[in-house]
Amino acid sequence: MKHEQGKTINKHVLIGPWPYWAGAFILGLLNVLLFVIFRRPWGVTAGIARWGFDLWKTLGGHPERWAYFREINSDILSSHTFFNQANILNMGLVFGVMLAVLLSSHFRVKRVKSRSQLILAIAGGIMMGYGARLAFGCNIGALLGGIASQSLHGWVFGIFLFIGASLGTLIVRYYVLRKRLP
Amino acid sequence: MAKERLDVLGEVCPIPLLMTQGVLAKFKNIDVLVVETDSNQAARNILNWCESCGFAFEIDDLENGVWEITIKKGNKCIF
Repeated sequence: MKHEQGKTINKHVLIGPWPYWAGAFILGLLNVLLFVIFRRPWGVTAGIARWGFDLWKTLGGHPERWAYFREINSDILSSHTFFNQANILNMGLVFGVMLAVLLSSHFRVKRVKSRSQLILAIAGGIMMGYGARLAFGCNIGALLGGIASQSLHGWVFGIFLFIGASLGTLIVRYYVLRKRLP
Repeated sequence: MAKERLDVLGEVCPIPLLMTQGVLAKFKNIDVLVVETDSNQAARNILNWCESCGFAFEIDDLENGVWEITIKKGNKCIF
């Protein structure tokens, strides 16, 4: 009986699903802590842009001349390549997700299913990354951080995110129901 | 009694759910559909959908991160 109870608790905590309010509460609390320590809201894609910056520079490009890196993301030019706030947060994110998936024993190396899936994934990644740079952030940096810090751009981002996600859903529905069914 | 398998391994949300719905809507003769997925969110979506439709279902863990969902739609028709 005791073992069974332990198993149930284990299942609820590790595998979930956690209720939305619990996730929202923890996310809010961590965001406040982060703001106290790092003096900035949480962001993800600025750190990924940093990787692109370093990669392009290693390949012989001059991203430091780009207006985006000069004017908007200029702390890239002065901070450490690896030990910077954005990178530590992103590494923590990857590490945390890895830990969660291993603890729930859901870890699995997923194969690429088809060439079209690969092309769609790469095209989607490029569009999301480029869009996030134009919007000064992603769901996290622009929407969550923007709204939490009372910035109008968070709300504008939210409205267009809703429109874009609705359109995207229609396209995926059409693609799956018309092209993918056996 | 028609039983079919649907392999959506490697597909991410919401494709497994959409394909499950699509297959059941298109092939009305299927009574039992076995869906194999490696997306835990998709597995959850499919179970929620089955529950809302009143279909009986079973879920098996095949291996780490792979689930096999047996949907017993019977002759119920919601489409």
